Amino acid sequence: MRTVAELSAALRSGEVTARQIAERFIDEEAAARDVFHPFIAVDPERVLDEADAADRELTAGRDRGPLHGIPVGIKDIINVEHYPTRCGSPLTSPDAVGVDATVVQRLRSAGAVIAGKTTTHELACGVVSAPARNPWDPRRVPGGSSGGSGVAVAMGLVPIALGSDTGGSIRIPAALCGTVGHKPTYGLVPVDGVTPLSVSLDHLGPLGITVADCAIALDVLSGGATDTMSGLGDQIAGWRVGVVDSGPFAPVQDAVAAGLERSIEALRELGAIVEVIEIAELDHVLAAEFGIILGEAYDLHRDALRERPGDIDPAIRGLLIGGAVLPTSATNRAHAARQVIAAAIATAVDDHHLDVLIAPTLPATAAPIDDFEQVIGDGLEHIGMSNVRTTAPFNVSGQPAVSVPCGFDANGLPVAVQLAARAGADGVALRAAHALERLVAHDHNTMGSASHRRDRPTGES
Amino acid sequence: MAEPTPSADAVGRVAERLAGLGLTGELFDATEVAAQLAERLELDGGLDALIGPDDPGPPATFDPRGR
Repeated sequence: MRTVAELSAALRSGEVTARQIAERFIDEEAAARDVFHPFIAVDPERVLDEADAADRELTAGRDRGPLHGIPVGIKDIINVEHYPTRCGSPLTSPDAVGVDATVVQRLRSAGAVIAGKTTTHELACGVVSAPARNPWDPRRVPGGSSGGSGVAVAMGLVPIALGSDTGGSIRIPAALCGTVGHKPTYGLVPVDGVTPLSVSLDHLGPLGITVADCAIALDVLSGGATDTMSGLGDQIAGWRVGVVDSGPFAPVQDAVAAGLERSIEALRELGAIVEVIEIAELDHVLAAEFGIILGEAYDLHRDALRERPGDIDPAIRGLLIGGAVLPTSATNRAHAARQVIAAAIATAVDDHHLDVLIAPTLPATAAPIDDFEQVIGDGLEHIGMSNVRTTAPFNVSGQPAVSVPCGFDANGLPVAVQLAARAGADGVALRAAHALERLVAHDHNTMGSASHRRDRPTGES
Repeated sequence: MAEPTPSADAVGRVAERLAGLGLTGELFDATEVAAQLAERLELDGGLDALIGPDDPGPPATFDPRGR
């Protein structure tokens, strides 16, 4: 699968039809299914029907824009008519829901073809997303909780897939699978029709092959509240960039540090002014993040915890039980800490006159599926904590953050950095990410199929 | 990173709360829950430096653009 821009041009030139794009998707998804499990449900007949409708409209001169005829994957916590929403959980019903979530309605209005439901970590609460596997090495995790969306985009099955991000669940699979992932400003993209995890921290957004793919998707998902595409390609010379590599952003594996350094050099080449900043309040970000998630997730799943605890993964059950026993004062304190942390980041950005922040998206590359701990720096960290400590700061602050691939480790696994802008300035984050992408992410963006990737040499860093 | 060992008091409080909620049985291990809370939430007063020692009360709606 090519990028949205390439497919869009090919559709309008008559080089391909939406049906041909859909047929290719169906074939490639079927080939990928047994090993990589990117999708949990695909209805080929429905996909072809939607593609045919898109072709008929284009032929009749009705052009709905850049997503017209483009297949898009939908994380399986988001309601799509004719599909059940299973959330990776036996607690859910296999019966199809009747109404599209608002984001799906917006995609359909923009002419997108709904490709199917992508695999999610159970209840959108984890970083493994079984049975999905990492397309760079199927012995490793794709990340989560939007793991299937990361796999689907990285394997070129679809150019865009939707994810949700409560503690990093768009950016984590994007980083581990080598795609772009954009967590928008909190509240920008509506979440109705989506099974929540923690309503104060949940964000919806796109994973895409390129930054432009994500920008096109965001402008649709936001219902026209953004026009991020128009700023892509503009210069960032003279922009001020703050590097945050301390607090929860340290330690990181050597390949991640090298990727961050390479990205900083690229930004300097583009004329940006880069300085390292420190925000001490970030040391408490996980206490704020988990203090909010535990209480809110328990509120959502309290009946299931009481009535069907054996149908909940033990790690998630542990979080829910934690929420059950957490005093209200602890939840209140977590919310208050969030306000202080968000204000501290905003103050640092203002004081240093920064346009964007840059940080490693994750401290480490994809872990083997049976390893719940990773060596990072001098210590061993549980991936449920290590994968979240670098992404949660921007869930807590609500700022937009874009993860961009920036190289590989010695095992050929992707490494990524994230760029965060002020709340509401999604276009600024995407513009910086787009500029950076052209210098550091070209290897990732030229990937086609999984077989292509298996053939490429590893060992780069 | 090993989970911190919770105090006997903390485990006792968790066990009491679980029992109060009717969450009992082998799936509801008070020691494990207390350890998780201690690891994740800085319940030892770690947040005091940010927000002081008191309960700030129910949160206002979060607006990332508001300062």
